[in-house]
Amino acid sequence: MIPPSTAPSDIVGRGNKEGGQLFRQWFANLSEVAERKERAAYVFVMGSLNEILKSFDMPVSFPEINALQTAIRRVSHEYLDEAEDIGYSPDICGYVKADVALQMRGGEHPMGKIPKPSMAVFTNACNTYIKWAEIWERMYDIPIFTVDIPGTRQAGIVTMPGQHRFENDRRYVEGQIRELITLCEQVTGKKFDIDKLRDCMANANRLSLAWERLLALNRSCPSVFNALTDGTVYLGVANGFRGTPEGTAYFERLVEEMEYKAAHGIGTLTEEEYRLIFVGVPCYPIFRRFNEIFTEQGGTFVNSTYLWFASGGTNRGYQYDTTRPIESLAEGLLLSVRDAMDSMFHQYAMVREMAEEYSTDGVVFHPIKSCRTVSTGLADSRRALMEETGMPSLFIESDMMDRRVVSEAQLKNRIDAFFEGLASRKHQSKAEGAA
Amino acid sequence: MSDPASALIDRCEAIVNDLDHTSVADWKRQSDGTERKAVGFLPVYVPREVIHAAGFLPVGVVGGGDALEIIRGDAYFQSYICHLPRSIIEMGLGGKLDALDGMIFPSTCDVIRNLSGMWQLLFPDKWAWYLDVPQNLSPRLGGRFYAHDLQLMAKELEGLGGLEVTPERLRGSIEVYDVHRGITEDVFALRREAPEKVPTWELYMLIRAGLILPVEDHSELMVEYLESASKRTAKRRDNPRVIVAGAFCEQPPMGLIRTLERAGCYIVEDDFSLGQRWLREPLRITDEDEPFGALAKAFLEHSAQGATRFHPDGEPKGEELVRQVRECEAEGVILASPSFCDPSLLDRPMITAALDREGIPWTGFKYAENTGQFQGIREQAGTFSDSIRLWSEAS
Repeated sequence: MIPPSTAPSDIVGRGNKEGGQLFRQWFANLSEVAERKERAAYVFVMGSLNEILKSFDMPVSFPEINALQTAIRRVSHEYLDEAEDIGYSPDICGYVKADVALQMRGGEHPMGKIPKPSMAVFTNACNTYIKWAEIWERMYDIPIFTVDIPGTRQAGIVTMPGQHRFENDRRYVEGQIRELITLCEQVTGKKFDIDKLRDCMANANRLSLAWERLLALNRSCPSVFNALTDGTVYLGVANGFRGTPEGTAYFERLVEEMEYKAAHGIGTLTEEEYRLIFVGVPCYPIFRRFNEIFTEQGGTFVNSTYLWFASGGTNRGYQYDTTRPIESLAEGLLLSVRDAMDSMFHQYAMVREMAEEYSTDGVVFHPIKSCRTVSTGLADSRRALMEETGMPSLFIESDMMDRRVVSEAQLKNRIDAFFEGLASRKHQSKAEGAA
Repeated sequence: MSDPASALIDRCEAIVNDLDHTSVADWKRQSDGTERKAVGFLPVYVPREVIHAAGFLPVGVVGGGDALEIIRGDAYFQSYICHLPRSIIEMGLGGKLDALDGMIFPSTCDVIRNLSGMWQLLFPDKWAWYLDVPQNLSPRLGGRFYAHDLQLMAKELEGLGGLEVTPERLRGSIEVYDVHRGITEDVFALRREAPEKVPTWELYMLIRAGLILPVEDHSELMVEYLESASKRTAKRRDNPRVIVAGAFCEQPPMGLIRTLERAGCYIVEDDFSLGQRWLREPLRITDEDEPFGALAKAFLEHSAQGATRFHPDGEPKGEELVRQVRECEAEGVILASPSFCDPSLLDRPMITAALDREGIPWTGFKYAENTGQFQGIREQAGTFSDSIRLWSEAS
């Protein structure tokens, strides 16, 4: 609990500062692993199984995060070109291509050096994950492990614990987790320690609670963080440090900061006029500028589907029962990753719900060239949202990696027009109120 | 002299080109005034045996090709996506799929998975089902999960008004499809042996008709074709034998297939109809076998090595293609991928590496189902064909 006398300068902004420090440390650690010629488990943001891997003390690398960092640091085009030169199509996922080039460069990355993989663990939340791991398998002759998470079979019909259909799916996931544990024992030469797993799960519990609370706090007016920019920092920590004491401490301090901001009416750096929701993946090649085009006109992103699916469904705040760790891990993984998948594949209801809960003025849909997984269906969701709620929305396309398809001028034109619409709507609403 | 095989292909062409699915609507209407039901499915693989056992007509939906102008479908998607979902939405909105009482979306790729969500939003009165085929290939886990999932789907079909999918009924359906699988492979074998007798555009039409016709009728049709085509006396040309790979979901326009043949290639194997040939072995089910389990086992053990299926065993990608090249005595491979098809395009570098290792010539291009300009492809395929004939080690 922060004393009431605390000065804003002591607390406001520390989340981003500490997040940045943690992430620099994260890459430094990976570099050390690489320098020692040791290897890391390669995992993905939608169902990393960090709880299991950390219980074996395995260093973990997130190729998606490595890839997006090349775009933020404005060198992704070099990596993409190198992968395309050896036959990877311009049509496919830019993350995969950046990673392939990174592997060809021996792990060279703008933030340090990425170790080679010891194994890869991935879910089917994105089909490209599976293809991607197949590339590593053949490149390095390593074991790769798919955790197949059954999806929602029919939109709107979500099965829950205790129901026959759910329990069948859960047993399937549990069996796979047990297989994964055996594989980790083989790869590391260590015996599985269930108490260590319990510790990781307990840390993940606290992180999940904090993540859920963090998102809820942004319902405040003004919003306490920008879901697009600040949110991406938090996402990185949530994924990389899930199940660790550092990650838990970070998020508990972050919640403290946001509680303080909410209590004192402190918002982001933007004078908030329009509360927006972001649907899709950010435009990393012009990450800062992309956000500025909105904030310059008083728009702030109060939530995003990205914070849901790229956290692997941590937004659900699921709490593991550490007295039955494997069963509960299976249940949590199924609920969380299925939720992450639903926020991409059956997203309409979630976006509508989010728009209501966060007192939203508009929704920005941002499909990207790289990714069919997150982009397919956005236009239809937008249509349904507008038909049902009349919510203003914007549909703009670019990419998360490939600057060749990012046109700042065109984006700005569309965004300007969107804000003109929002402004006109606001005036009209005020005029009607006055009458 | 009239060619009975050509007449059969004309019939197939009429069925395939009828995007309104009138033949399906006709099948549904019974003489006593009652109506049967039909369920559509998307590429690549769906076990049609289960739909058949429920008394429904399984209907493969692979888009409108170049015969359908996309007017509304484009508005439902982003720019960077394959063409198939746009044309399927266009067909749905245009009433061309009204004859179908439901749709099954298998876990082929994220586009098709997502389409299942869109379908329920757009057509809330139609039954839609996402078929989650397993990525874990152990019988104890993936096999058991998949068998249960198929039972779940069978129950859903019963709820839609279908017959109870009893073990006896399902075993019967599996036997019917085993016969169909056998005849299908016979037709493909004839093309391999005598490509001059079975042009690929004909074979393609014949097999495509099987996505719409009842399986029993289609088996008969293929037998008739086989008998007629084998009697043809076409002269074999000095064309190289090639395999076309990568086109297993969104289908190339017929003009493109004809273009490859006109450019001087004998296509002796292809994966246009991968879903219909997914199970590489007959199930040979007995009365003692539990049929859902048998379908699951067949999926785990005898699936085609397609790009939409997880390969956990480290077998070099493209090895099956290399094997096919050897078995078919093919001299080259044409890699044809739909634009923005993630599974096909992501596999391509690994496949070309395998072909290069074996010294197998290949060429590649992208297409869309409504590609209309074939000159560039004709020149590319023609040059490829010439290079094999004139410059390969064998020549």
